[in-house]
Amino acid sequence: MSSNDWLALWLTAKLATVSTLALMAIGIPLAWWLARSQFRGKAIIEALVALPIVLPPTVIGFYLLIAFAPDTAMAKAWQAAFGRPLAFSFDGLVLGSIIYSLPFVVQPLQSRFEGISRATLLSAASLGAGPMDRFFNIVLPLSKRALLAAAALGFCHTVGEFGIVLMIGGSIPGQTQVLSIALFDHVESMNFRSAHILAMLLLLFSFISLLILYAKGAKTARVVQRGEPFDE
Amino acid sequence: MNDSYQNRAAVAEPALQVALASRSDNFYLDVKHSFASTGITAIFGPSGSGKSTLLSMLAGFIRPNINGVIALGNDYWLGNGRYLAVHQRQVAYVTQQAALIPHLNVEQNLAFAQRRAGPRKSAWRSIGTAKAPVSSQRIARQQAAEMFGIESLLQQQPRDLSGGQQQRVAICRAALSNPRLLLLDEPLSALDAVSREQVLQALEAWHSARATPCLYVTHSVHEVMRLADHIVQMQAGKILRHGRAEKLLCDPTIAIGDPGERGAIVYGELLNETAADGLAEIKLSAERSLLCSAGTAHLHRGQRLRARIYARDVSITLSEPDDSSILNCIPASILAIHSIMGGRAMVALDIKGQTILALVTERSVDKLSLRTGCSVFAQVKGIAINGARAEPIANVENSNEITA
Repeated sequence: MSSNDWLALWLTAKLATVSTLALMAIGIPLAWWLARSQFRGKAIIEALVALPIVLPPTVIGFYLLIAFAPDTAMAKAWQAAFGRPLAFSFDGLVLGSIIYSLPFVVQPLQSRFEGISRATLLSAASLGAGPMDRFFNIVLPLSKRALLAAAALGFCHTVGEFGIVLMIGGSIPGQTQVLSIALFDHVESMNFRSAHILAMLLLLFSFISLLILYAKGAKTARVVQRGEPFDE
Repeated sequence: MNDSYQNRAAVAEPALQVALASRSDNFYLDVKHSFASTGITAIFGPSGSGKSTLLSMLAGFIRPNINGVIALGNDYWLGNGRYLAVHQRQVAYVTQQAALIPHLNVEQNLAFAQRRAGPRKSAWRSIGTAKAPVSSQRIARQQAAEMFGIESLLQQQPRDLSGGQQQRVAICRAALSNPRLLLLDEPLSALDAVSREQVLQALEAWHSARATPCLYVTHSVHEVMRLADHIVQMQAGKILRHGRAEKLLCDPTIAIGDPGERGAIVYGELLNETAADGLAEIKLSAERSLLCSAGTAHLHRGQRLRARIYARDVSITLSEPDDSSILNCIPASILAIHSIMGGRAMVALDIKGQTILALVTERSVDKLSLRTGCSVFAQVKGIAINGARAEPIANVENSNEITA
């Protein structure tokens, strides 16, 4: 592996870690809200969150590219706040990854949260447990497996991202050249030996991650696949 | 003989004032009532009469959409510009689902409630509050677990318990949260007969030890006879009538459940320790006493008892027979006779201040020429007793109000 490949590996790990942390911070409250809300417009939010599952990543990438152009309000605000541009930057990749992987974090959490008995929470409330108390001491401990599944899927899905990165990243080593992009570049330049190494690396990582997740319990797999509630 | 019981009533919570009006789809709830500050109030009525809705509003799960006031003394839970959320009301709510926290074992479930128990005014305060040290919380937990017969289950997970065990844990947990008001919504309806009996016994034991007022939703006359001090009868979203349990149950003109299941509640004092033949004598008044089988209950002389006498177990004779297997034959006078369907009549009998019911046929009424005011003998076959709670018996004589 060349030094560029090592850099791509490091960048990919960094991108997936930062994105996963951000995804959990956004996904947990969003999933809880979706699971409990009676709000009529809820379906719109659910459909928006699920879009990346069906949409070609290049579509998301295309719109993000337009939004990241230096003369947009968003890019200007980002530049003003952090002193860095969004287009062709690591920050841009993180934002893209959050949108792209959000359904994979929100959906297992939402279906788990929906499976938590309302009666249990109501009776805990009558015993004096307030909303935060109930969430941290009942809901989250009952959702340990779903939290693990959501984080793992968010991480792996970010590692496997290609189309969006291709559109908004460019291929700047150490900045935006992640493993999938580095692999693409190797193939383009007919460098099949290096391409084989990176491809095998990604294949093994994904397989082992999923293997651990499924082996952790058939129950987790069920949540991931069909969104069935379960008790731990 | 009543002094010690009246003392308890004096330290109780103020009455719960409720005025609620709410409409949903095709149901209209309109309840205005002052609930008793002690004892168990049975909220009784057919399904769809609004019992559970009322309880949900008291707990704070549902907000009435027309108008509402809920106040415990001067403490407004709803109304007067305030709306307290469920967790701020210091109620404990138990339904037919035990709703234990699934990832905590039984002891942790109990401790969960203890840690969240506010500074409350009920009798649990002395043995367990949020401010009490951990060791005294453990003692309180142990005592409560023994009362509800769950001390051997403390380390078990909720999913490993039977329905009856879960329900006893749920009620024990509710009790340990030191509520100002305990709300029980058909807690026995999902249980089999054996579990039901266990939970009933635990509730009786708890109730005789604590002053916490309790609202108990049920449509079972049996549960009303076992537990209720007061009855609030609901129909179509309104309170039909309310009053002391022994008054309402013994009014033959009022329909409460199936006549065959119905009976009277009498209070008395145990005269003798259980005799060698297993019989106990209960003194109802200066001149009247009843013999009954004491069963396995732990009774002691002078103890106040509550006895259930089912109407179907009482027959009427004009003279005192000396060749009957029925031990109890007591002079009584007829207060009222009320015909009910199936050629039967419910007869209310006064036995020196307390009332019992007899379920007889219309034909017997004619044959014996029974009329209001007749002096007769009541033959009482079966009596079920349980240790009575600390209820001021004064109320039995004083509160004659039955509001229709």
